Amino acid sequence: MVKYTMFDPQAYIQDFPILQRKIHGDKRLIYLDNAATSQKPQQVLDTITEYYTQHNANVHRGIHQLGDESTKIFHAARKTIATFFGTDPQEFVVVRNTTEAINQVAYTWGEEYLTAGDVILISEMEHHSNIVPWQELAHRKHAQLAYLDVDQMGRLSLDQLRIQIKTYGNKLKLVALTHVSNAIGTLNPIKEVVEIIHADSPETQVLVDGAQAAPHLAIDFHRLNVDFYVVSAHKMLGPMGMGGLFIRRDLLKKMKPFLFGGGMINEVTKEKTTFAEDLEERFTAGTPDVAGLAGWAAACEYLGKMGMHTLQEYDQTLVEHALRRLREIPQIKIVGPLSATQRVGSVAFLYKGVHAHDVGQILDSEGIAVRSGHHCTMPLHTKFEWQATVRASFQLYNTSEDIDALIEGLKKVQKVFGQ
Amino acid sequence: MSDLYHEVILEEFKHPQNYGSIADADLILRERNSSCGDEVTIYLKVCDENGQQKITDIKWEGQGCAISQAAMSVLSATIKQQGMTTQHVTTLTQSPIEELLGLDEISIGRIKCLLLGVQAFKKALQNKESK
Ligand SMILES: Cc1ncc(COP(=O)(O)O)c(C=O)c1O
Repeated sequence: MVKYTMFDPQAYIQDFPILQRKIHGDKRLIYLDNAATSQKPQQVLDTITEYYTQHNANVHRGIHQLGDESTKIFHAARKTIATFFGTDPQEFVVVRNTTEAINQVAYTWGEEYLTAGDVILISEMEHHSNIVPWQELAHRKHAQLAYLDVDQMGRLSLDQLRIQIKTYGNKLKLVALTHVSNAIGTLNPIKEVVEIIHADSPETQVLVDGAQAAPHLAIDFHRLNVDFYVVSAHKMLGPMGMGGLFIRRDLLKKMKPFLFGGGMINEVTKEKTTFAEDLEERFTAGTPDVAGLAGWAAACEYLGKMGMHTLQEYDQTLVEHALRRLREIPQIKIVGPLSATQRVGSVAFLYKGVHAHDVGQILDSEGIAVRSGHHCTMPLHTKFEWQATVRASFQLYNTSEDIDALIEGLKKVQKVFGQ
Repeated sequence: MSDLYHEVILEEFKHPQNYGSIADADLILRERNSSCGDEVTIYLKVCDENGQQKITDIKWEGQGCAISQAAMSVLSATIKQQGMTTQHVTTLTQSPIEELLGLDEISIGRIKCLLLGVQAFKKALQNKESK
């Protein structure tokens, strides 16, 4: 395929002030822990500062200029973020992060619609935040939690999905899958998954965990045609403490609010309350984090300027380079798909004879930040008997030189441990 | 190169002291840090000394990162040399073990690795007390 757009990360690195700082004295920071959280560009930081220095006031309340400005910023930010994800503010519930979004679905939709004997289907590659809330819900409801297998190459099987749908029939109430695996980088074929579910089990709801997809892929909520899509701002250049729960409008209309209080009501008497008709209002209880939302919107604009398709292409080149260079080291076993096209955002591996924490520590001494551990995917690690893996994960400010530095760092591991 | 991985640690990691098991152990302690997969199994021979358990022999087996395994190695050597009681072991903190390994101060993320062995003793004591 001919690539018309050549992305040049050098033009953007200076936007990230933290990348200028030194590590362990005078080492350049090589930040390869983006799947845990990304760094933030100056544009995002400025937006947050500007909100507090120029516009801070509560929304929807005071009749005064600052209140108006703040309210406008709030709605504009919600619109920008929702548009970035291919939807509109009426389908966008603000939460703190992906974890909270999934819990909210479990506590609202799950509590209301799940009954004893029903089935929730997830996969073995899910992050704990897409496992534990369902385990808990299943316990509360006497429902069953079932798993799709992950094969040796880190893939799900669509055939197994078809079989599971047939097996569970109308008991299958929810399929909750990650779009991109944070542990092994797999890009799951969500479109095909949704088509199969809609064809064979149209009543089943689909939740997609987009925590690792949102930072790298163009997400079109409507085109994906899922019921719930959940993301964290902090992994996509936005601030911590902001997340999105996107819910299909007709479903959201039927759902009970999760949080009750100010802002989400129509009329309150001593005895009872009617809730706001407007979905945005009904699902925003209490004072929102306007600065955080504005910061997240700035991150969406920043990413949008480059174009997510361009960024995905660039991510592919980084993943490909990492896969190729890691194969040069005989002690390294890459986990997950071996082809870059089946991956997004990261490459994780085992280093023969050396624990992942020791690898991470030696890399850190060279200024290289990676993640080591089970990456909140213990069932997956247990299945494949990986004690812990080392993961390098990328963002647009990473370069192939960063990956080369990682390889040099890994050679130090070899020197230190003599293997 | 890498301060943490100086000779003492690598030597202890590669040639751990008191490594192995005791077939007729009086006590067997296990500890596992499930977040990283580090684990140790400790075999003890003990005798009673004023109502406390004095350790007369110790062996251990384990797997995991260099820090956890090296720390367990030097811990086992000290316990044996000083004939510590199990109660005494539970009072050990981060710094004496850092000292044994010749470390200044370990990073916050590695404290659990350092104290894996001590944790095994603490847990055993807690279990005993809660019984
Ligand atoms: C796939 C996936 N799901 C969920 C989460 C949880 O995200 P958060 O900690 O922002 O709630 C993560 C974060 O690591 C993730 O990678």
